[in-house]
Amino acid sequence: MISEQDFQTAAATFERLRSAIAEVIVGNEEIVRFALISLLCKGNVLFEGVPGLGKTLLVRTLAGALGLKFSRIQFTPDLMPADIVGTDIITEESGHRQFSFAAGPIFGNVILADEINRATPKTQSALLEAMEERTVTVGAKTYALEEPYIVLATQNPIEMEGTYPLPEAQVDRFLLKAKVTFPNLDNLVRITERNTEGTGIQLPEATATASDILTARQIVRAIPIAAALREYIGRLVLATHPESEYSPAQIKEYVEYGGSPRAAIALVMGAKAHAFLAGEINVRRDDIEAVFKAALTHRLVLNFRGEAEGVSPDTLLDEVWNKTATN
Amino acid sequence: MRFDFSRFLLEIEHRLRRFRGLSFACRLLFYGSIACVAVSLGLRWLTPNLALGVALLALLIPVSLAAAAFLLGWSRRPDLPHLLLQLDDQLDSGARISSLYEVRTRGQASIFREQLEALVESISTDWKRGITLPNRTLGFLSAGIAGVLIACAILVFPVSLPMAVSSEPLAQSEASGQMPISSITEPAQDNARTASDEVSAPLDLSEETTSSQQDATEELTQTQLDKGLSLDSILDNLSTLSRGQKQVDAPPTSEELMDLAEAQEQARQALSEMLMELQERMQNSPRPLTRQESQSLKNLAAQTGDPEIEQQTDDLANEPNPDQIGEKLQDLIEELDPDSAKPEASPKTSEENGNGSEQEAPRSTEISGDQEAGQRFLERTAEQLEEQANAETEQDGDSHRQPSPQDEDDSQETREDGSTDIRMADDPDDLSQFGGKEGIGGDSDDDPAPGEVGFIREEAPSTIGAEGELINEFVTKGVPIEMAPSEDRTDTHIIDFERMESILHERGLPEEALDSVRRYFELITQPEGGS
Repeated sequence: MISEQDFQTAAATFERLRSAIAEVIVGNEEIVRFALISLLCKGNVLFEGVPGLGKTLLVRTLAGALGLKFSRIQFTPDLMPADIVGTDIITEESGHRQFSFAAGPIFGNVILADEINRATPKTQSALLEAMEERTVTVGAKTYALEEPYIVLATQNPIEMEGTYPLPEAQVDRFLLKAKVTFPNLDNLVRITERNTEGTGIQLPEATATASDILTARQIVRAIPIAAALREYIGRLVLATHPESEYSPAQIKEYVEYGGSPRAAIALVMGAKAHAFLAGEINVRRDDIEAVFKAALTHRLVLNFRGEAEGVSPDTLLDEVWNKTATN
Repeated sequence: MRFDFSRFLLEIEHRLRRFRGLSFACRLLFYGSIACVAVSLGLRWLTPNLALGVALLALLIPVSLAAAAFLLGWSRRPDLPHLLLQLDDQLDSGARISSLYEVRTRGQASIFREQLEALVESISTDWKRGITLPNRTLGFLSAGIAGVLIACAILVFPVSLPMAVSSEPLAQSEASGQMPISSITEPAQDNARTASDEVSAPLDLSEETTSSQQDATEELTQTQLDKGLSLDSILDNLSTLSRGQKQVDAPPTSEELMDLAEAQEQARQALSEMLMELQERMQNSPRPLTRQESQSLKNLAAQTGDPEIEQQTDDLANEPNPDQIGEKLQDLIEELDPDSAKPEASPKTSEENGNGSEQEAPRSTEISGDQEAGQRFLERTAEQLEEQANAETEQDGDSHRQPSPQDEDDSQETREDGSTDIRMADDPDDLSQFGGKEGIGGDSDDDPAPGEVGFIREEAPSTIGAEGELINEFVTKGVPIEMAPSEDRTDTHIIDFERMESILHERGLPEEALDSVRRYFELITQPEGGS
C-alpha cells in the first residue's frame, strides 16, 4: 500500500533527479522528461538525432544521477549478438575446466545502444527479449535482468548508408521516440562554457536509488485516469489505423499500419508518468497530449504514397489529435 | 461537513436530465408551434365559423409535443463518465471529477481519493456553470412561444383573416353618394353568383383570378370612404393595388371581360324576349304574373348585372294590377332595348350607310353585332395605340397638323350623326369597326372645332356592362374619372382632361407624350365605344 508520504518522497526524488540532469544537459528538457517517463513506465526510449547533440552524455548523466550500472553498446555492422548478450566460455578452477557465462553489456541498468541502426537485424534482435521481458536467453539458460532496467537507443536519421532500419517489432518495443534537436544560440553558448572552462563536465552524484525508482513506478501506476479518458486514448490509437471509423482522411490516404496496443499502453502509462512528474494526482488531457506524438510517431507505418510524398508522421498525428473528440 | 460526492453526482445527473428534457421540449415546442400555426391557419381558412373551444385544441399540439419531449429527455439516463468529463472540460478542472468518479467506482483504496475529493469539493461550489442550457435551446423556446402566441391570435381573432372581411362596404359606398364606387370595384363575380351554369363558366374563371384583389379592393375602398377621402386618392390606391396585384395574380384578361360582357348581354337579350312574350300574353289575357314567371324574370334581371333593371323587374314582378304590368313591361322593354323604342334613329343611320337591309334585321342580330363590335373594339384599341405611337415617332408634328379635307368631311359626317367630337379613328372604316355609325350618339352642340388641339371636358357614356365596368377597367388606373347620371344611359364617364394634364405634368411625363395619353383615353371612352 502506497502512502501519501511515499508519493511526496518519490515526487521530491524525481525533482532532484531532474535538477541534477539539468546541471549537465543544457536545454533538451523534453528529452530529459521523456527519458524519465520511460524509466517510470518500465519502458525504453529511442532518441533520434544527428551526432554530437549530447545523446550519449544524457544517458551517462541519467545513469550517474540514478546511481545505476551503466553500459554502452556501440552498434556496428560486424557486431554479433553474443557481443551484446554474452557467451559461455571455458574456465579452469581448481584444476577443473568448466563453462561459465560471461555476461555481455546488456546486463546493466541503464543501457545505451548507440547508433542502433548500424547493426544487422540479427544483432538488433538480440535486444528484443531484454527490452520487453527483461530477460536474456543464452543457450538453454535464461538470465533475468536487474531492475530498474532501461534501454536508451540512438540513431542517426541522416546517414543511411550502411544502416539497417529497425524492424517494426523492435521499434514497437520503444515506449517513446524523441527527436533530439539542435540547441539554440543561448544553449549553444552555455554548452561551450561548460565544456571549455573550469574542470569541464562533471557527472552528477547519485540522487536516487533503484528502490526509489521502483517505488515511483508503483505510484505512477496508481495514478487514476478517468474511464472517458481511457476511451479517448483508445479512439486516438484507433484513429491512426486507416481502416478505422475514427481515422481522418489523411490517415486513410498515407498510412499502412497504425499504432499497436502497446501504443495505447504507452499513452496511458506515459500520461500517468507525465502527470506524476508534473505533480498532478490524476491524468488530464494535457498529459495525454504531452506524450501523444512521442508514443505514436514511430509506430505509424506509412504506405508507398506516404513515403513517396515524404509525409511526416507528426503531421498525420496532428490531424488525428485535432479530429478526435474528447467525448 | 464531509463532502458527499454521491449527492453531488445526483445533482449533476438531475440537472443534466432536466436540461436535456428542456432542450428536447423547446425544440419540439418550436416545431409544434409551426405545425400549430399551420393548423390554425388551415382551420380558420377552411372553417371560418369554427368554435373557439374546438379551435383552441390546436394549441395542444405544441404543448403535448413539448411535454412528451421533456419526459423523454428526462427519462434517459446520462452516460455519467462522459458527462463528468464534459463537466471537467467546462469547469477546466483537469478531469478531477471524472477521475474521482473512476476511483470511487473501482472501490480501490487509493492515496489519491481523499486528495481528489478535497479538490472536487473546492470546485463543486459553482459546478452549475458547467451544465447550462445552450443558447439554441433558448432560441427554440422563444420561437416556440412566439409561434403559440401567433396561433392563439389566429384562432382567437379571426377578423384579421381575409375570409372574414365583410362585404358591407358596397352598400355603404353607394350610400355615401360620392360616386358609384360599385361600378369600379364591383367585380364580375357579383353577377356570376346569380348567373346560370352556362353563363357563369367564364365568370368563375374571372372570380378565381380576382377574388383576393376584390376583397382587398372592397376593404380599401370602404376605408377610404369612411375617412372621407377624395375620389382621386381612392383611384390612386386602387391603381396601386391593381399594380401590386399584378405581381401576384394575373389580372383579368380582355377575353374574360369579353365573356362577362357577353354573358350580361345574353341575359339582357333573354330578359327582353321573355318580356315581349309576357307583353303578348298580357294583350291576349291580362292577368297578374305567376310566381314562376316572376321568379324567372328576377333571375334573368340579376344576370344582367344592372341594378336599375333589377329594380324595375322587381317592381314588375310584384305588381298585381294588369294595367300597370303592361306599362311596366313596356318601360322595361324600352330600358333593355332603346333602339327598338326609338325606331326613328336607325333608319337615318342605315340610309347613310347605304345598308337598308339592316333595318329589317332581327334585334337579336343587332345585339350580336354589338358584341362582335365590342370584341373588335378591344382588339383594335391595343393595335391603334401601338400604331399611333409608331406614327408619332415617325411623323413628328403630324398629331398637331390641320385636318385634311377628308378629315373635315369625316368629322362633319360624324357630327351630323349626332356623335361627340371624341374620335376613335380618322378612317370611316374604323367607325364601323367600333359599332358603326349606328352606335354613335351624343350631343354635338358642345363639340369643339374639328382638329382642335387641347384638353376639353368630355362626357363618355359607356355601354359595356350595365355599370360601365369594362370601361372602368381601362380608365380607372389613375385617371381623374367621375361618373354622372345620364338620361338615356345608366352611367356616364366624365374625364377631366385638364386635371389629367396637370397630373401627368406632376408625374414628369414629357410634353410630347401628353397628346398620346389624351387620345388613348378618348379612344377607350368613345361614345358607344365597342358596343
